[in-house]
Amino acid sequence: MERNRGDRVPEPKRLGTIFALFHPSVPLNPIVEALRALKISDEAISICSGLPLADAPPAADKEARLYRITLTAGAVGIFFGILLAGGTAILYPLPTGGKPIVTTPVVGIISYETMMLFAIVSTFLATLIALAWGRGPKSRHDPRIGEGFIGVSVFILAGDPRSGSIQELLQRFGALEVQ
Amino acid sequence: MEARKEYFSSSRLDGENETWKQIPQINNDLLAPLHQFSGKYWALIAFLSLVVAAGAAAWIYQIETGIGQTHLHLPIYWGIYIASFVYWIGVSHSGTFISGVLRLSHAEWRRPITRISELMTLFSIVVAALFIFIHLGRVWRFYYLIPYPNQREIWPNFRSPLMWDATAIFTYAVSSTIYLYLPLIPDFALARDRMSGWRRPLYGLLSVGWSGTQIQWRWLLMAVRIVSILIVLVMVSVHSIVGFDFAVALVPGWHSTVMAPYFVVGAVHSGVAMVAVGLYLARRYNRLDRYIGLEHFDKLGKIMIAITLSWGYLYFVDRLVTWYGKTPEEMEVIDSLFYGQYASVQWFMVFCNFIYPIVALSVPSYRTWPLGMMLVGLIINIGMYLERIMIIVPGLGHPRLHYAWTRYFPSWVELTILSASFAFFALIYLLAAKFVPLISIWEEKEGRIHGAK
Repeated sequence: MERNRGDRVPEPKRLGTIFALFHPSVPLNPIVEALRALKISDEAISICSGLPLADAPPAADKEARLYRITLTAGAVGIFFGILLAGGTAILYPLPTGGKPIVTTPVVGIISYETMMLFAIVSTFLATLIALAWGRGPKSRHDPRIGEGFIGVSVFILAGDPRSGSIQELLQRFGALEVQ
Repeated sequence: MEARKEYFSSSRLDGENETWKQIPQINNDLLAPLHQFSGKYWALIAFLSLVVAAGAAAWIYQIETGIGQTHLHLPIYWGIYIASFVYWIGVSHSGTFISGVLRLSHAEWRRPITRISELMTLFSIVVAALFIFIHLGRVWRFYYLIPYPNQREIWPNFRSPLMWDATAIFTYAVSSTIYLYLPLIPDFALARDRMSGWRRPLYGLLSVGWSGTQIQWRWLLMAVRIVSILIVLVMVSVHSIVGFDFAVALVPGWHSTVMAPYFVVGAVHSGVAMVAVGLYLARRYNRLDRYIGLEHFDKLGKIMIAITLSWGYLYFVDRLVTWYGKTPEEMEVIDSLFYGQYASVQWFMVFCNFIYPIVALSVPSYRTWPLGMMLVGLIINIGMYLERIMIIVPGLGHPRLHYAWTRYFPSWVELTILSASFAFFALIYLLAAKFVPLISIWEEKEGRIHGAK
């Protein structure tokens, strides 16, 4: 259906970020709890640090099930190795005096290597994708995070009435800067 | 920045600030070598480049005029090219053993060592892989090694241990690159934020958008943990397979069940010894005394004692069983090694690999002498290189038919390429040291902060 010229298309609401920088010794769990009390979902909170935090706050507690990818890829690698060393030997047999065309030790060695290759490469690729995805929708980056400071980003829609409360909350918890 | 200064100077956090205050200093110290270029550095780069160029010219000459330029001749069809290949694969075990095993065992003292050894792993594999191509002779036919259906419908024969080798080395090279790269991502991000010029966008690309969110950390740490486990398993398999190259052949001196573990332990021996050399040089020339302490040399020395004893044990077992069996063709090789033409080299090798390290490293004050640790590392590596030669040449030089017995000494082409391989390793390492922080910055900071808690 055609739209009338006079109709105003509602603008999609833009996602905004409130970014606060904290000293590394500031405990993060109370901040996350307070943000939750303001009905901010865990997905809308991102905590950046220059080091892995020993006590990661619950908002960041996303379980990485990378080992499943590793195990699956390893199984595919075994299958690939069997096809490579065993399958091709059957397809293109090269008879050698007194030796079988396909031998278990040879297929085992090649399959072991392809299992490792597939497992490691898949783990790596999955990690790269996860790292790109793990930045968050509009995660802010401050070079001072590399110096030990901790950045807390809160993603809210532009015009969200909670914006002021969030900024006030972050200040109250000792943010050095709120942007 | 002012706000930060005020915050740090406030009294309520004085105790904790002392620990956290170290972070900018650690960043500065460990990133400093990336933009410090001295005249000596460029002179060394120029010298190494010249040696590498000489090696490249020798290789081109060999390709042009044929493999006859080497002194390889039947029955000695493997010489220093294969010895070098085995040796460099051995050195590559530095990173996987030191870094992988220590990471898995949560050894805190590993932190300043892992990156230095991981870089060694990658570059020594590169050099080792080059020797495969150099040894091929007709290097333009390298694609015969790649499994693809060619016009004659002959696939590479996977029953050949050399194909196991090709598969294992490919897996090891790819895995080692990934193992080096993954823990580098946060450090690349740190460099991206602090470097300027052409390197900044490159670091940006390599840091794959790293911003340090907890989800990123979680994935990265899990990936590093998984790859650490797998790389140790690959490490054991790779040098076992290199050992199988020899053990599955019926050549006197090679056909031994202990060959695979003997090769793995020998590889770890040369690899860890090379780490001692790298550690000394990194500490000395990058002013990293604050990070690479005497306790690191001490702990490395203790590991080297254990490895030296394991190597000596396997060497003794291998020789004892052969000697006790008294098979005539095997005894020809044993006699040539212990009393014959190779005796001087053989006993020098035993001195370098076993006697000197055991005596020196058993003295606690020696282990905390960095220069001494570098020397023992060098001596072990000389010994391990000679050991590779002593495995290959005497066995091939004493085939079962006596009329074919012969000797081997490398030609000038082989020696030039050999020298160039060492220069090439040093060259790419030196160049990388200006691009990659030699100590894992985030791991070092993590150790200090968590250690301080």
